[in-house]
Amino acid sequence: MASTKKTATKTATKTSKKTAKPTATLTRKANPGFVSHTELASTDPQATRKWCQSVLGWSFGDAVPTPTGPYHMWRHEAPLSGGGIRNTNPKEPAGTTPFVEVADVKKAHTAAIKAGATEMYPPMAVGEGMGWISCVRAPGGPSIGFWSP
Amino acid sequence: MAARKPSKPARKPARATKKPKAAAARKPAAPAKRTRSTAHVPTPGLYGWITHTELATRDPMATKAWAAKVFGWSFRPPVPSPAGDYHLFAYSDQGGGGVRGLGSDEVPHSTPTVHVRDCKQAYAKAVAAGAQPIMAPNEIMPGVVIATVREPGGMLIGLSGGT
Repeated sequence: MASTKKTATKTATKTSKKTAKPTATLTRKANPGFVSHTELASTDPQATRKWCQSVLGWSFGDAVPTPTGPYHMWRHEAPLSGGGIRNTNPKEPAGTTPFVEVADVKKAHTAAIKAGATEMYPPMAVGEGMGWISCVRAPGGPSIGFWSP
Repeated sequence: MAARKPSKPARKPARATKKPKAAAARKPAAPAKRTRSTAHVPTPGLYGWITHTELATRDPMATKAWAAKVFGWSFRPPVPSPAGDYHLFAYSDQGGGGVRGLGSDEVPHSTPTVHVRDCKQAYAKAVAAGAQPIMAPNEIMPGVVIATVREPGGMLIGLSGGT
């Protein structure tokens, strides 16, 4: 799962750099420790999106196109909470990954590995001025992402 | 993860005296026993927010120690349950989660729990909309009812409400 997710996220990021049109430039600071983005890897993103709209009341904007399919994002403000729905990769089971805000993804990623995590994908920029992300598998197995401005 | 929209800084909790959502112990496979007699007052205005993230891990103590060191999450004393201790953490007055061990048929994963006005109604609506029932609404402490479903795309989603 690690390798496939790494590939998918990288390709998604590359695509978003080319095609995504952020509506504004990121200006806020990180809230260290906050889970403000949850990624949902679904076997049927359209069904998941429809279900989340109907049951949870989530509102989605236009999906961000990626080589592996659309990325469907929702967001709540104050306190910040949101995430994105994407396709599962081949052989990847459906699942979720919480992204935790940190002051500096590169430093946090290094500290996380040093503390026993396994790298899923290294720090990389997302969008245009939308910050940095990385992902690790924490000791014990669950995948956890990082985000910083 | 694709591009993220910018957002405003999180505001301060409107009512700091309320108990954080993270105070609610959750475990789909075997809910924790009630260990508190005080009532939980759900935070209004957060319906639809993910307020609790559960990490199911092969080694809860290792995950807990790692998360405390890397993220600075503060953990409450473990809540005992038939399946083992449940380690609650909080990163704000309105968000947190729990770390627990794996059930016999589980692999490491996380489960987001969405705050809803009425857990029983939301559960019924979730199933009617195509989700698979995993854990029926269960009051784990006064004022906290939780449930779990598998949504149509295969992911576990928790629901938490006052009723």
